[in-house]
Amino acid sequence: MPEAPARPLRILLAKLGMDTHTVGITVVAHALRQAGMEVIFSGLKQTPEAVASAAIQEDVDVVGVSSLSAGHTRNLPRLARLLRERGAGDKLLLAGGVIPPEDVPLLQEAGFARIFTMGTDTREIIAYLERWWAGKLTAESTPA
Amino acid sequence: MSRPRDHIATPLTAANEDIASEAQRWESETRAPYVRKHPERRDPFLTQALRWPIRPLYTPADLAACGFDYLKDLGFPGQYPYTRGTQPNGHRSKLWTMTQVTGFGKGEDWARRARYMLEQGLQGLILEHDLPTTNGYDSDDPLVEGEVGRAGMALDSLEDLERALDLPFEKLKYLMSVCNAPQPVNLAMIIAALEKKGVDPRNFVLHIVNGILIEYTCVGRYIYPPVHGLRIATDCIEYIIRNHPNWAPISIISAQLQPAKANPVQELAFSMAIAMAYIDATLLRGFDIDTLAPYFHFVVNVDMDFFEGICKLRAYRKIWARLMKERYGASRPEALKICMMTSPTTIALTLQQPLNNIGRLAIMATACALGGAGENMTTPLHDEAHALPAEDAIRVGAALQHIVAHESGVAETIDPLAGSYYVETLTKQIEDAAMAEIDKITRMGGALRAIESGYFQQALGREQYERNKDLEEGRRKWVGVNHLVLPGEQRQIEIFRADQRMEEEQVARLRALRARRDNAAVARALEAVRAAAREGTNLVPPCLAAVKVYATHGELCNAMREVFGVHTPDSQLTGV
Amino acid sequence: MDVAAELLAGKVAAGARAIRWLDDRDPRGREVLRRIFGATGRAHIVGVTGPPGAGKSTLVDTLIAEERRRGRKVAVLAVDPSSPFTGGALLGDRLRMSRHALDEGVFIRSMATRGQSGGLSRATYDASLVMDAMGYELVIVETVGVGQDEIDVVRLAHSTLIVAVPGLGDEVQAMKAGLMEAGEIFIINKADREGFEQTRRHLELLLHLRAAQPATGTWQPPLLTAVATRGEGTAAIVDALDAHRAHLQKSGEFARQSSARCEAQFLALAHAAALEQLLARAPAELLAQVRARRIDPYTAAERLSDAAGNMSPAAGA
Repeated sequence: MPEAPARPLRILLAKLGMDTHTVGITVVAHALRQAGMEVIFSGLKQTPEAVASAAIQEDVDVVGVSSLSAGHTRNLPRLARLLRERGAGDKLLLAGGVIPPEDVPLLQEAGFARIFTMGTDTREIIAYLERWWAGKLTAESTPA
Repeated sequence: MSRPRDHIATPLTAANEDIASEAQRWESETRAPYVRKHPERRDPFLTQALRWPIRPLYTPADLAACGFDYLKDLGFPGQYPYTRGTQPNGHRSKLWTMTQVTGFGKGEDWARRARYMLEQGLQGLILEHDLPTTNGYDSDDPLVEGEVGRAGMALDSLEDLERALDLPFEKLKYLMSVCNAPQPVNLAMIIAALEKKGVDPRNFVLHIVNGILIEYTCVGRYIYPPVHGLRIATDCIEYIIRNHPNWAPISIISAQLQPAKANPVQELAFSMAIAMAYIDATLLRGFDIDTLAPYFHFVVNVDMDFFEGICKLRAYRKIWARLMKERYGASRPEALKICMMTSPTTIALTLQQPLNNIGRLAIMATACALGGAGENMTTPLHDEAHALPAEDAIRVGAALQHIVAHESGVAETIDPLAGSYYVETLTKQIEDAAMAEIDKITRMGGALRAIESGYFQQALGREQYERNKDLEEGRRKWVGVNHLVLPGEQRQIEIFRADQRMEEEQVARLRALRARRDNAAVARALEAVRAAAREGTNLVPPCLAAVKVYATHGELCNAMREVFGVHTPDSQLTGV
Repeated sequence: MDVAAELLAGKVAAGARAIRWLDDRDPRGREVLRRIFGATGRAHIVGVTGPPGAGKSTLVDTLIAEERRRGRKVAVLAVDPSSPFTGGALLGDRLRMSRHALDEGVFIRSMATRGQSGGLSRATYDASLVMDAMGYELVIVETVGVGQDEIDVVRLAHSTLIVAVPGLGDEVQAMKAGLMEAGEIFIINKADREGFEQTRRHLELLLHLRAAQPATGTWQPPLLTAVATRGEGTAAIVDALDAHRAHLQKSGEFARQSSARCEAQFLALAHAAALEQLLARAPAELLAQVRARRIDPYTAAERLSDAAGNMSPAAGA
């Protein structure tokens, strides 16, 4: 049995708000697992507080939030702020779902690195994460 | 999971043997050489959802090989097993009822829109509730901020419904309500509101979906653990059959399994198993199958694979008839004939190049007609993929149905594709696979067990992943999405934004209501609901009493939460 | 942040980071462990195992609630399998316990097995030490619960809860070899299900047979029932856990087990380190010869230790 890599990327996937569509997040979760990542699912109908708490307990590298209802302009920035306040501001924040292009700048300003709208090819998401991860590992192993 | 079952080869008649050997000769002498010079454009050819292999050619020998028997497998329209249709005259006497989705609205806005539609001649309306309501919360619950009135109506109390139902009831014959998890509360409010309006329930049909088991399976709007969800649904079915026998207490919306990527076999098997779970629970209340079965309605949609859709519809009729007869001993035709609405599915529509969707809808509407559209067809409007319906879209959607009905000729004879070697082979394969899956679910303990153990959810999770891979890896072509993509196309994503002012108004109204009602009476009424929950008596009467003293939707749902607990789902992501 | 110091002060972020280092075999993890080791040995480690569908996560969720009601801080390690092919994992247990997400006295951590068999991950023991040092009185370890691999949790935990459920078909379900003898508290969850009586009789019989064995200690494993979705039966389970802990402490078993775990971990680490060194000093062709089947494994192993024996420890690889 091949040894698992010593440091797989850990990502928390969460759904904020009352919307319960899970197909998108299911597909992404499976794809990330196939790509060798450890995916922690925090569940449906989560509040930003609960997601921040989970992100810290699980010491994940990335937090991916799916939002299909309209609360993203409030919920997502709140989540970003909570993470920063608790010293977890170095986690990569990603959002997906139904997010109109005009809301993207607001989310990016709030701290979300990338928005993957509905229908994004999962291979694009994986490539993005793998690039980011490689960069992070290199930066950490480079002596200061 | 899905593979067509290999049939035990039925000995072929001499005629069919000849055909079979001629077919082999044709394959080796005519087709194969051609293919060597002109390689096939796909390898393998698979159906869209089931991903079953599609042979180049089907002949009578294939039918014979799968044991096809006209009288046993098809029979005649309006006769058991109803494969060719539940009506004796197909669509020749009466076309399917053509409907449209009402669209969303909040409170008075919904009422205004509804009144407009009634004036335009529509006789039925659909009450959709917002997410806080369908999840069992009041509008002022901190959890639901930003959601109030967005995806439908905010229904906090009887007052809200009284305002919404300010309609000319002499024109309204039919009301459908979609509010599965808090069903007894919702039902109670509607009954109370109708009473207040002086509407005679015998001249009017209320149709509640009451479909909590599909919520657990894939939609996700549940509150209580599945065993209690089923009990609540059964209470509502029982109450309606006993008190309003002309109403419709249950809909199995198999169509909801499609966005979750259920393939036709899963759709059939899971929805039938779910129907049987309700049936089994309700039979225990003292009904008999011949009385109960006619109350079940199915909503089954077709996807773009023309033949999967048609064969699925035919299989649905046959399987329901067989299950009612073989498992429950039903004998009345009304119990054996499935009551089914069919429509094109919205999941086939694209955001990209939305005009293409008109073409897609035409194909799917034709498939519905050919498969036997059942009572009713709804054409989701061509730009539903991203926004609420615009008036043009409404017109086009309606016209589509008329074009299919009056210009194409497909509705002029009954079940015209019967006897097609491919259609009958595929129908039988779907039937056999679905029955095997139903047996498997039964052995597991039924739909409730399948839900509790995560069996449905895991199966669907696997399909979701596989289908997405098909798309990403190009095995499935989807025009506008991964084929004939318009470079630089701006995909408009319009969402229905929360209206903060409306939310504030709703919250203020709610608070005012709580201040002026008789809170002691409310407290007593809530305790009666909790008692019924604990003791196992029907929840609808105490909910009815409670809504009349203006207990709120959230308060009633919470009273039941205290007794039943809440459902924390099995992880739905453990399929692969 | 000074991870060791902060986790000793109970800071979740620090504890989470330490567990991450240990899980990743980051050398900083070892450093932390060195510094916190003295503060470990107090937590009551509870293993929860049983077949899939038994409702373990829901049960753990209610246990957390009851323990919190009694004023204890609770930590949970939820272990799920890594894909043997891709190394990835889907860790979904915490969503069953999501109502505790905002309770500061509850720390839930998901771990993947990362190639380890036995139902646990290599770092589970180390993670439990971190939680112990942080001051959590109870550390619940919820295992994968598939196949016969649940046995590792028995060695890790002071008290092992075995969760059975009626009507899963096979009456011998969770009663794989070793579990029946090793579990300390047996629970039939979903007790309102059909088949409950049958399951209860069966387990009672097995426990009776176990009590008749001469090797059995003085602890009488109770057979409890629960309906976790309704929170029924939880208080009795927590009482039993308390009783078992008291029993272990009275008999000195508690401390003895902690020592045994420590020893086992030491041997495992020494084992791994020794093997690494041996292989580093092996003649280059040795592995190739084994692969080509030119020598048998026993001979190869002898050659390996001969090679190590002929070199002084000071000689580098």
